[in-house]
Order: sequence, then structure tokens, then C-alpha cells
Amino acid sequence: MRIDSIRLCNFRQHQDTFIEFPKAQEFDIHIMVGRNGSGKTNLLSAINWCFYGKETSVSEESEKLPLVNVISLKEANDKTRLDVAVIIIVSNEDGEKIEFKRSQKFFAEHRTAKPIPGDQEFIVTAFIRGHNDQVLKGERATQKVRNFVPERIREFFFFDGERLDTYFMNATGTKIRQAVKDISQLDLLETLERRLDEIHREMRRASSDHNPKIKELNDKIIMREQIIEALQAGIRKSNSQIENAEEQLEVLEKKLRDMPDVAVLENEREKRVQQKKNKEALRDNKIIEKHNILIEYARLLFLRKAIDSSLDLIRGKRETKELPPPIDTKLLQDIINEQICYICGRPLDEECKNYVCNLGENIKQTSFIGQQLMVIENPLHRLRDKSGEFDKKNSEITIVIAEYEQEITAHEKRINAIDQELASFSLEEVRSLQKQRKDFETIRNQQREKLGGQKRDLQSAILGKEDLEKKHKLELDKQEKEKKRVQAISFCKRAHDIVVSTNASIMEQIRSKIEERTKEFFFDLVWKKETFKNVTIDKQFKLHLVDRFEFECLGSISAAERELMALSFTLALHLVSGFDSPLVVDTPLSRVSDDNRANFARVLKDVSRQKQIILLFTFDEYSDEVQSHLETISASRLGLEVLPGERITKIGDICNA
Amino acid sequence: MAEEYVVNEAILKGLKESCDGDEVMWNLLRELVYEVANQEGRQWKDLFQRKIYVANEQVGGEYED
Repeated sequence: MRIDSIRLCNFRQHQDTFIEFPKAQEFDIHIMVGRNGSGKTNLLSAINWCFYGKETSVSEESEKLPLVNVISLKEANDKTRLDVAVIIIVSNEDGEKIEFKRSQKFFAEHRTAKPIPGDQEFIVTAFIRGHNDQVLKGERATQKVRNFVPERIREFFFFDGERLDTYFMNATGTKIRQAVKDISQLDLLETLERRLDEIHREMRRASSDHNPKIKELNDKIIMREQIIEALQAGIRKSNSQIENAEEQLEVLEKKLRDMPDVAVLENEREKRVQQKKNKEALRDNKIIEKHNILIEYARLLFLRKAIDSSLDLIRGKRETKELPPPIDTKLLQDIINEQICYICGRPLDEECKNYVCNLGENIKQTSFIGQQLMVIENPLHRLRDKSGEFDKKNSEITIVIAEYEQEITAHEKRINAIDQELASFSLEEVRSLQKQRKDFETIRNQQREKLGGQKRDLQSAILGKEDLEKKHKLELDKQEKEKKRVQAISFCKRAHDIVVSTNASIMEQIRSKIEERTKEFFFDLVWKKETFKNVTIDKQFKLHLVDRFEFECLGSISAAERELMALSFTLALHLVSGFDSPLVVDTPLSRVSDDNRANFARVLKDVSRQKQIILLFTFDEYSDEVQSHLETISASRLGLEVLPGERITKIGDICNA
Repeated sequence: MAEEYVVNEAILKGLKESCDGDEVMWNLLRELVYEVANQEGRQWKDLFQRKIYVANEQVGGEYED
């Protein structure tokens, strides 16, 4: 089914707006572009009002204003009646048309400047070829709306694109599961299942009236059923608490995403402060050690120059062969004493004696110094070696102290950074959020544990009930007069079981189809395809996005990517639901980046081959890139404009808007 | 049988497949699902019971009111 036209009379800023959506050959896509405040959102709101009697997405500013057009109201005489009406004509593939018309009377009231609202009226007229026009009111009119788009699932058909960003925050597994049920009408099967179960119980109870044994068995079955119901209620409650906790955790995670983990930071800070203190103590010890080394080696250091020059002197004397002394002074003394030269054997004359004496005197002096120098040489070497030890020790300890300093500085820097990070947030708030997160994690984990036990108990209760039912049937079979009733009970039970298995099987098929289509759409829409690996929907209907490193990433993707995911899911729901009703989206690209807009336009273009799509863009959204995909193929392109101070929407060409 | 409300084809197809060729059961369930779709809030118990007994009779059981 598709929308052929919409007429809005006195509906907010639409004083008299008529929009036709002509059907094109291939792509049933319609573009409307307007600035903020030009009446796009009110158009979406009018569609919702017409079908369901309720407005949606009304801005705060509009909420303060009456539903009736304020210009018409101003121009009207006091107490004059003004009618607000929205008329939507839809048609199916066979060309049959249905007109939905909702109207409401208002009476101008100049004294209060607020109009007095009258009754609402909703009339549906079906134009079927070969038949008289059918005019429907009340429940029958509502029934027609249900066939078009049931109210419970309207938000998947007529919605505000900005809502998509928070889609998965508000849509837990249960809600998505419910949406899937609603959109696929599985609630019909559930109602049927419940009713058949109730009838089966009644038939069984009636069969027990005349036989105490059968009655006893029936009572036991009833008791077991009560246990099963209680366990199922418990499981529902646990699931709901788990989902609620997960929903809250998601909200908290989002809030905490840009906040520091105070507990971790404070813990780190405390550790750093302690480590810094330890390092400072170690550094101080090393400084004392260094001082002690300095004191120990101070004298040597002062003498170092003298030692070096003494050793240089000795080395010089050795090089000039002055050391060790070349002449034996004892020999000279013996020559003088004996008056004979021990070298040539001749007696010494006075001149030679004087020469030897002088020589002895001179050599005596050189030898003494030489001997002294030789005596001090080794100690001097030892002292110099020791002063070399100082260099080594001093260098080693200086390096250790510098390392400690570096570590202390690093700790200081990190402590300052932590202080700065913490200073920019309200620590109380962060702590409170973190505490809430911890509490919800505890609740979730406790409930998961509890759920496991409940499921085991339920399984055992179901087996027990089945056993009792077999016994009950055996007893009934023994009674010939109850034969027919037994057959009917079995027939009813079989009907019930078929509905149960059909329900489960359809749910699984739908889950699998939605998963497949969501994945296809998402990978078609998203720009950075290589970032993501898979999209899955688990048995609880919780959506998972897996990145290329196999990590779940739905909670950490960008707002635009989240919007694309929500749109993919919505489109998948549409295709799987079987409802061919149109998709009307207000500001579909508000949060989508330029990179993704082209993909978005391309995907919607493809979808429009199968269903009508009406897109209400702002000029910013309707970029060149989007235009290049949609401009030529769209079935209609209109501009919405509100002249300054007029408060009345005018429909025209996009370029004039 | 009121069939004003459009019942999702997948539901009807699923029910038919689950009936595995049992035409009586399939007809009964199809009628009942349309009853659920079209008669929300109306008296359903007697109607359901009657239809079940009638269907049961068709497969060999005997109708008992």
C-alpha cells in the first residue's frame, strides 16, 4: 500500500496544504526539502494524528500552540468554528483506494486567545471497484488503519531520523522482540495459543468431574501448571531485570564513556604517590652514600694532582734512566776507604780521591732522592688507583641517582595529569555513576545465576506435568463413556501444540531473516566496512555488532554508525514484516556523516523499488552527494517554505524553498 | 468467517506447514487465527469450543455440547 496524497487543513502551520505522491515506474521515492520550522515535522505529526489521533515529534514551541492554524484563528470571528482536518488517501496494488480523514472542530475564543476544542471525528472511506463506497466509523475505521500500519508498530514506519541515535539505548532485546512480534502479528498466535490452552484445561477439568482418581490427577496437573506459571513469571521477571540492568548499564556506560574511571585513577594516584615516596627515599640514601664517598675520597682528591705529578716525575726519571740510581754508592765508599780504584786497581792519588769523594757526595744525594722516589712510587700508584675507584663509584651512584630522579619526575607528571583529569569532573557524580554501574552489574549477574536455576526447575516441572498428563489420559481412556471427550481434549491439545511450535518456528525464521537483512543493509550503508565483521541477533533478540578483532562494539560506535545500524534494522523489519506500507522519515540524515550519506541514499533508492519512501530533508542533509543519487530517480521533489512572520507553510519547488 | 484483518502470510504458511497435511486441523486453525484477529474482546470461548468439537467430529470424534 502507498500514500497517494495528503491534505492538511488548518493543521498547525499547514493552513491548506495538498501534497500528491505520484507513482513512478521504478522508484517510489519522494523528496521534500525545507528549512527548520518549515513544517516538515508537522507533516509527519499530521500523518500520525490522522491515523492514530495522536501527534508525535511535536517541538516544544509547537506544543505551546494550538493544533489549529494560528493565522486562521486570528482571522476568525469570535466563537467561529474552525475545522482542522487531515485527509490521507492510500491505494493498494489493485488500484483500490482508501481515504482516511480525521477532523476536529475548534471554536475561536478571542477573550483567552485559546480556541475551545470540540470532538474529533475519524471516517474511513473505501473505494472498491464494482462496489458501493464503504464509509466506516469507529472500530471498523480503526480496523482499516490496523491493516495499513498498526499503531503499535507505527514508529517503525513514520519516524523522526534523530530518534535513530538513541534507538538501541531504548530498544532492549525484549522491546525488539516485541516489535518483531507486533510487526509480524505473532501476537495473534500467542493469543490463539493462550485461548486453546484455556479451553484444553477446561475440557480436562470437565472430564474429571465424575471420577475421583481422574480428579486427583487433574488437581495435580493444575498444581503443576501453577508451579510452571510461577516459574515462567519468575523467568520473565529475571529476564526483565537483566534487561533493565543491561539497559541501565548501557546508559551509564554512555555517560561514563568520556569520564575518567575515578576509582582506577585514584588507586593509580595513590600507588604513584607511594612509589614516588619510595624512590625519593632511595634517592636520598644514594645521595648520602655519595656524600660519604666524597668524604672518604676527599683527601685523595685534593692530593690527586700532586700524586699525578709525582708519578709523572718518577716516570720521567725512569725514562732518563735516573731511576734506579746508576752508581753504587757503597762501591765509591769502599774505594775511598781502601784508597784503591776497584775498577783499574791503581791506588788513588789526591786528585782522584777528591773526584771520587765529590762523585760520592753528588751520587749520595741523587740516590737518596731516587730511593725515596722509588719507595713512594707504589703507594702513589695505589693512591691513584684508589682515586680512580672514586670516579667509578661516583659515576655509578650518580647514574643511579639520575635514574631515581627520572622515575620521580615521571611519577610527578602522571600524578599531576591525574589531578588535572580528576579536577575537570565532578568526582561525586562520577563516583555515584560508577557505584550505580557496579550495583547494576551485581543485579545482572545475580539474576543470571537465578535464571539458570529457574530454567532447570521449569524443565523439570514441565516433564512432571507431561508425565501426569499421560497418566490422566490413560485413566480417561479406561472410561468408555468419556471416549469422545478424550478425543476432543487430545485434538485441542494437538491444536495448541501446533500453534506453539508454529509460533516458535516463525519467530526463529523471522529472527534469522532480520539478522540476515540487517547485516546486508548495514554493510551496504556503512562507509568503513572493513572496521566491522558481523551483525548478529541472538535468541533474546539482542543485536550484536562485532568488529574485525571479534569484539562487540555496538556500544562504542559513533552516533552516525549507530543511526545506520538502527536504520538497517528498521528496513530489515519492514521487509520481513510483510507490511508493504510506506516509510516516512523526517530528517533521515541529521546525524549521518558525509561519508555515509551517499550509501544511505543508495540503499533507500534500492528499497524504494519495493515500497514507497517519503523523505523530509533539511537543506543541509540534502547535499550534492545525496542529490546525485536521488534527484533524477525520485518520483516527486517538493520544497516546503514558511514566509517570515506568516506561519503558513507553502509547497513549491525545492529551489524556491 | 471474518477476514477483514489482513493476517501475515508467514503465519498462515507456518500454520499450514505445521499441520503437515491435516486439512481439518489446518482449516480449524486458520479460522481461529482470523477469529482472534477480528474479534478482539468478543465472546470467544463458546465459539472456539464449538469449532474444536466440530473439527474433532470431522476426524472421527463425536460432537458433545
